[in-house]
Amino acid sequence: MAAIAITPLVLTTRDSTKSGQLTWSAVTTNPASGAYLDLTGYKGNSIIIVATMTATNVTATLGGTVRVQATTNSKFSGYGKGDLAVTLSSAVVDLPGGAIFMGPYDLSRFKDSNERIQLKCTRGNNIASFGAIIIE
Amino acid sequence: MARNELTPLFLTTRDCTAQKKMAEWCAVDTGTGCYIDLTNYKGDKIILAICKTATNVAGTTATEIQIQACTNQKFSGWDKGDLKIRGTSNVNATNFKGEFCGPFDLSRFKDSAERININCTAGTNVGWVGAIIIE
Repeated sequence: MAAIAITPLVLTTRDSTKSGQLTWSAVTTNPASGAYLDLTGYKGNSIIIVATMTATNVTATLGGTVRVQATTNSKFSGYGKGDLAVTLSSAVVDLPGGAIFMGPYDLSRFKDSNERIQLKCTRGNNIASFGAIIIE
Repeated sequence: MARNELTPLFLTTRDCTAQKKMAEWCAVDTGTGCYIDLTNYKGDKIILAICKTATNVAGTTATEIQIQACTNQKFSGWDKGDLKIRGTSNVNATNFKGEFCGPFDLSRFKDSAERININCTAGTNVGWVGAIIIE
């Protein structure tokens, strides 16, 4: 199954009086879809990746790891493939707002590139939902 | 009732391989509100987040949370009341639905004693507020 495109929430100081809701994309291993962030035409300066799961969307064992990596060269702002891992624990399920944050990652080197950030599960089924915040 | 102090989550490029939970989700209601103390602040920007779930919503869907500065009613150039996070019915879902606003430049608050106050304008126990400071 093709990877799912994630639409990031773009926050900018030019328009920061408005609030925006995060768009979540489910990342699964069965079917093995994964998700990606397309950096084509990117004009931001950093990105924060957010992961969450709740009792309603977890059907796998806890502790599954989702890896963040770049497609083209397995590097993402100096990090090697697999360096960035989000390991979801039972504590993340807690309400309210059970979510974990990673970043900020410098995206300046991706400007006008056609690279993607890939998000994959290493085990589990329907293990998590991902969102991303780009800061301009 | 005294305000509750909100502890922000610090994210820094020096340690961005780490994964972190929000340092604190602070309940905001019309009676108390909460605040972020900017004393000794060394960061760069702040993002504010709101979430509410089926278990903690007692207000109307149009309820707003307003963000304002304590000392002079100004917060990086915005007037009191300019900055609002409106909790909508979409935010009220069983899955975590985050709503974010910012980033706000905090450079002028460096070494100040100001606070960001967060208030509800209507409703009771309307939501949970978190904050992310980016260094």
